[in-house]
Amino acid sequence: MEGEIAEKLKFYRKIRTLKTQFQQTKRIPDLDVEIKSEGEMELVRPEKVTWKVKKPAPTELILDGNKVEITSGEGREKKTESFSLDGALDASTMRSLVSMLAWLKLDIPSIQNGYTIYAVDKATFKCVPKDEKNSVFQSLTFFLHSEGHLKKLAIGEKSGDQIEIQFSKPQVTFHP
Amino acid sequence: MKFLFPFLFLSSFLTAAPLIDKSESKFFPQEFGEKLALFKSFPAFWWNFAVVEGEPEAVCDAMKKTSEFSQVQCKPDPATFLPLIEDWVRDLPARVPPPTPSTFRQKINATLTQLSLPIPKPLFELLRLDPLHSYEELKNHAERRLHLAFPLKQGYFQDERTGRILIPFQVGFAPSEAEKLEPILEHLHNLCTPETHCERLVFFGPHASALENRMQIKKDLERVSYLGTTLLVLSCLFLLFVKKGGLGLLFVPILPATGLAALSILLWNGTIHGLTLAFGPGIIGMLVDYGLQAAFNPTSKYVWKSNTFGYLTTIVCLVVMAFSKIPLLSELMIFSVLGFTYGYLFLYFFRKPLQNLTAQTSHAFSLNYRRSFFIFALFCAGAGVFLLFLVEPKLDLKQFDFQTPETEKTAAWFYKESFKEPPLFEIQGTEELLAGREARKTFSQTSGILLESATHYMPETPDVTRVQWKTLQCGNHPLEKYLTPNETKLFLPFLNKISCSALSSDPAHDPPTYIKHLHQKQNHWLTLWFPKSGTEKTQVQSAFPQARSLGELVAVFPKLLTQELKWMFPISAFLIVFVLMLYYRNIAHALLALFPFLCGMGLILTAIVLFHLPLSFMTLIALIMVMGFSVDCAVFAIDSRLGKLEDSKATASSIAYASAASLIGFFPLLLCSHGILFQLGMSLCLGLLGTAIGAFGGIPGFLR
Repeated sequence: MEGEIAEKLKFYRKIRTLKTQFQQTKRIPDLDVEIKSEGEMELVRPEKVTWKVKKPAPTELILDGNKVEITSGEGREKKTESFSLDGALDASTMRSLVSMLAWLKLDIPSIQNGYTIYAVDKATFKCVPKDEKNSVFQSLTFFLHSEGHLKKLAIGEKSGDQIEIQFSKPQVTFHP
Repeated sequence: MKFLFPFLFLSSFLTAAPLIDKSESKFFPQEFGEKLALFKSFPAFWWNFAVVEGEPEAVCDAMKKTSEFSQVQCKPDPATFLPLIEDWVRDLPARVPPPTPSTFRQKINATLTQLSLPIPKPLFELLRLDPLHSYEELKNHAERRLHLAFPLKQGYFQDERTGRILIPFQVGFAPSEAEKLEPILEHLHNLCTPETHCERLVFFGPHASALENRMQIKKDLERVSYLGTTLLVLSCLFLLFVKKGGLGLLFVPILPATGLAALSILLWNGTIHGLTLAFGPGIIGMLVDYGLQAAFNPTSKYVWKSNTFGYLTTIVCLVVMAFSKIPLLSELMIFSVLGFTYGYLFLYFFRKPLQNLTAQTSHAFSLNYRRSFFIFALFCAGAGVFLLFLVEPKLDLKQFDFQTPETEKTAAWFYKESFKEPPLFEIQGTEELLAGREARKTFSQTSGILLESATHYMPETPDVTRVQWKTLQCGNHPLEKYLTPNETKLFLPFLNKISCSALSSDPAHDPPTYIKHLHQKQNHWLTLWFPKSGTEKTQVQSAFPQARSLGELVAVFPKLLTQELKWMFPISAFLIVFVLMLYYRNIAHALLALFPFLCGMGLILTAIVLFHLPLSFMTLIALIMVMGFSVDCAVFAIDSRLGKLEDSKATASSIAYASAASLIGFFPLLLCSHGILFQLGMSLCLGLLGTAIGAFGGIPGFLR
């Protein structure tokens, strides 16, 4: 299975940079409410992921190695907070954000290390954390486009909330 | 043996008997005592600290689940702050005017973006409750107030130099109830094991220290009780062996005398302090000496005159000290006077049966003159007089606080790193607090000295802003109009707080949770200053003379007691000599009665100097007891040497038995680890030994 996944995600093996638009829907079943957002994701290998939300309000999260930077607001209200993952004030919040961003780095060996992957169909794979107790998510399902890139990512949070992220075709550059 | 009674009563002091006062406020005159009690009733001072070496996770997780801890500062999570934010958001309309529709929409959008991210449920709920992010103001207040010198790393405050992790935690009740924490702290200690990679765990703070103190007293008392009981049994067997078993009955009057004295204090005061119950019986127990004298001199017509003047000299000392401004000392002396008097009357009424308590056997002791013994006694008394002017009393209350060496070292490290100067505090009523609001705020801003006051959290113009919110929310375009149905559902907790009906109802009267730490039930408010240097401290105290540190408040006790001792001891000595002048009509004999006391004091002060021990409050209590006992022994010895008590050997035996009984009773205290118990035992044992030296060695020497 692991070899098959690696083969399916070979598209990402040699990329140097990746930029894609996303549309996200978060469903909260307890409240019967949906929260929609859209923005842009940028990946610069090896370690930098930028999650830029444009709607409902501009917010940028950057994960670069051990550092996290969150910029929110506009104009005079704009503010940036930086954290090292060591000094995180709220460890559980950080773990959630970092886990999501780490997933978006598409670090296949790390994903395979942390998750058991099941093929739902040719282009759909469900990942269940190996260490459920310490994992921030209950499950992740990724859907591949026929061209090999990530089309959709569905995250099942432990609280029961569901996040679905639809990605457009990415613009990529490769390593020589 | 007679002095085992203190331990029985000290045990009751440690229990939660409602009539027994265990507070520290009785160590201080009323004004200061009330202030100290009030000071300690503020939840702001219920913070303790856990210091972990190694992995803190197991301890932190267990502490967070402990309901007795209202706050635990490790791995902070938003759920901890929800109760504070509830009240903070409820009071938002009193603090700030309503936002414009565009500002409202902007903030909602920003919150929606945050809510769209994979965040933990508690944070999700917090953002639903406070989409306008008013919690940031509260967070800024908390960060300003938090002065720990240790950075936060991975959710823990850590000293980078030593690797120690500090977990501040706030207990939900006052330090006087610290015994409730015993099983909890024991459980937490059990979690610090090699399996959890925790190497060491130390607790300190008002509750942890109070508990450590009580536990040590309990341990020491158990040790003392076992040994004391053994010695008591052996003593009784000895008395039976020497055919003086009847002497055991002399202790019988002490119990009703003590009980009546306690009842008298309770009827007068409503409560009695635990320390009065602990040490009062010891003082009352001295009247057994009169019973011993009567038992050993059954045929003497003079013995009760001796006893009466012995009683009067003891009472005089106790009455003088009863005028102390320190309520505890005054209560202890009044209790002792009453108990002593009741006991003496019991003994007098039962004097006839006392005559038959001892068999008419030969007595092993005598009051004969021995030169070397006399010289030794002179040396002891000389040391007493000389050292009295050299040794400085150390009467601070810190001695009552037992800490293991590990706790002491850890606490010292923490305070050295965290506070250059101790914080200053003021306690004010609501009107005074509000009236001084601007002055303190301005002073803090201009001087740069950090101020923590409830007024920081109180709105300046609550009525004005509430009216603005009410007008908006009860009008045609409340803020909800700018939300989609989806958003209305999402932000319902917030909308409920700012609804027209919520704004129309009466504001809450109880102080909100975010300032409860600065509020005490009877509408007293705490204001804290955090000077960083002595100069800043002086600046604050010049501008606000009522501001003082806890150390300054507590220092009232030793200062006052030192001042009082300067007149109490001379007056007591003078009155004792005066009473004895009435008795002996001879100044030399009257002064001679103080000789055994000087010997006793000499041995005590010599030990203090040689072993670098403090001349403490407990030494003072011991000296009072030694004075009473020594003057009694002196009177008996002098009367015997003057021929008033026919059988001098019998008198010598009674003094010997009294001294031995007292020594046996107090000896076990020397095995205690708690400083105050050890000091008491050391002072009493040496004092009693010195008394015996003075009575047997000194008095025959002067009256040969």
